[in-house]
Amino acid sequence: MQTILKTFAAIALAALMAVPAAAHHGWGWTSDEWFELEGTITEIYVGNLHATLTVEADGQLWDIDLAPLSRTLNAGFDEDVAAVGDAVILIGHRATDPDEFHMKAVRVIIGDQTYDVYPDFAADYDAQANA
Amino acid sequence: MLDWIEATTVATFLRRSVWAYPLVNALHILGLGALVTSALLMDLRILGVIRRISIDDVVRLLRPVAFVAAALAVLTGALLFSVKPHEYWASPVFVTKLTLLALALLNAGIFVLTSRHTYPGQPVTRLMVLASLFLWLAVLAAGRLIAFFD
Repeated sequence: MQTILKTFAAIALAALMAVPAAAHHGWGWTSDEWFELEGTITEIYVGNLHATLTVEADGQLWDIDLAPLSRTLNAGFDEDVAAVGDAVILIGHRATDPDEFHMKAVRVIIGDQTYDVYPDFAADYDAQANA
Repeated sequence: MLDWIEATTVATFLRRSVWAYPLVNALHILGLGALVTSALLMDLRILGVIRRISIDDVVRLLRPVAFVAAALAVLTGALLFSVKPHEYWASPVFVTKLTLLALALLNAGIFVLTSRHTYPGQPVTRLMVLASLFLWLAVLAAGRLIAFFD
């Protein structure tokens, strides 16, 4: 019986630790390199769990993750500041997997408006761009 | 059906709420934590790993906790689901979790209705207890993994 229990405990632990590196949340799935994407908005969602955009660039649809809801709203970004069809520039990090058209944005630029949904990371980007 | 869930007032509210969604999320964790913990403790007592308290006392204390916790977890889970019903329904990990949950609840339901804890030595009882241990931990793990797979 003890052996069976130990086996179960081991399985449970392994299952909990087997969280893949290509996780959807956080930054684990993104490349360290900065990435810029220019395209046209096809979908806007500002809500829980986090805000997302769908953007078409050169005929390719991209899934864009913004920040969690409160951070995104604090940056001044909401569903009414942009519309489907608007041109957009995104700065952030794309998925490490080159076949995955998915990026996490720290900055959204629409027209002459800039929304830093991750202000600290956006500041890092500016510091590096000016260096 | 999914469209209807998505359009409900509560789903619309939770989708845009900065504080209510995390609160519901926390209550879901409270519910599943209490449920899994009480189920595991009852299982370990019936298997004889824990012996210092009688089976009757453990079940009398923890079974009501498990019931209330299960109700809380299911209710808050339904609320969390309502925010993105299409996305969750399309997620293999989520569907796996629901299947494991159904099996865990079925196992627990039969166990309770047949008063299995009064026959701790029987092979059927021990088998169901081992199934309970495995299923509840698997439900917990699958639930946590939903957020990490598309």
